[in-house]
Amino acid sequence: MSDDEHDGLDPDLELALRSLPREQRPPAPIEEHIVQTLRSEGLLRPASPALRPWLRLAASIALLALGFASGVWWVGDRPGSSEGTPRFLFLLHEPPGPFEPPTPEQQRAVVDEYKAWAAAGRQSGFLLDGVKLKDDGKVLPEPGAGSLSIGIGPSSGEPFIGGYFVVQASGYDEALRLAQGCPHLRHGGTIEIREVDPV
Amino acid sequence: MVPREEAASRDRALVDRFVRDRSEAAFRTLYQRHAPRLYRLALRLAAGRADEAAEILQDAWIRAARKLPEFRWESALATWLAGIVVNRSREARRARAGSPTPLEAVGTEPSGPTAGSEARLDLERAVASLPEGYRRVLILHDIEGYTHAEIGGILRIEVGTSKSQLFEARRALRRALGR
Repeated sequence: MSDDEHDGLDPDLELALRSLPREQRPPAPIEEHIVQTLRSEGLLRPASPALRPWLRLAASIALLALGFASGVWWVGDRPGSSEGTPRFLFLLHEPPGPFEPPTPEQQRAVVDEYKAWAAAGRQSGFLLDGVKLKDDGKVLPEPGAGSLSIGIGPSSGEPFIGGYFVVQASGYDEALRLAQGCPHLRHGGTIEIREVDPV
Repeated sequence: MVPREEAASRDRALVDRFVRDRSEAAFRTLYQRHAPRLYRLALRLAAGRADEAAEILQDAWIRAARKLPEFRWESALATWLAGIVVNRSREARRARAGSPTPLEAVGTEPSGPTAGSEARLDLERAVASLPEGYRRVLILHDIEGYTHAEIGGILRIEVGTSKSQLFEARRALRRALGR
């Protein structure tokens, strides 16, 4: 896109036109109307119910209920951490959405699972911190003008990181064992385990 | 944001899934990726009429979904979708020929007034006041950033016609702004 046609346009006006917003979120009912029409024509098969989009919500509720800070990266000593014990980051990868929401009972069950896992982790001292990330994000380097603006979250169509936990473990074997107990794996998410380098 | 090639490859994967599986999840993801830009385009083409822009967007996506199996990727998906929006807006404009332009509805700022928003609003109003053909070419070239070749493909006009309409549109815009 874009070529060099400046005839009849002064640079200020050209810049002002180029700077006008090029996106505006349409009213939500439009999407539903389109989807209903396409379903009625047999062009769409409804998405199967899945719990996936609720993983981040469930994790978030569990963390808040247990008093973890939200949205803050923590590095350094804090109550519960043992000096010298290796720390691991559990990056919670989410599959792209959207999916149909679960029933309230399903949702409660998932939140309870996360709460139980986080409570056990805190009690036994392996779970140090965790955050839920917002869906939107930026990637550097920035592409040139005229490219699409794309979120990092469910609408990107690609797996994305929905949050993370910080745990302490004696080594990768223990970290793997701890991650295998995380409810995230039972609901279609994947966990990337990375050891913190204590530089 | 990601580079254009990566966006195109994501689009392609989503379109393939939609066409192959009639996947609602893939279609909704495509919609969420492209609808904000298409809606803003529809709003400008409709000179700020939100009801008309909504109708254009709805019809354009329904047409696009029906035609996607035949889409040959000779242009970017975003350009192809924009073309459908532009052509649907031409039909809507013809149907509403003669009705007044609601200038007060043009270029609304969803986040409320900010520094520079008054100047932006004046510019949006000036664009909305242009004759339809001039407005269309000016929006596509000077705001959306399409080339004359792309505009020629979208509007099915000669490149020279696109250039001359842009020249006249810019002159009319300067007049509307009192420059």
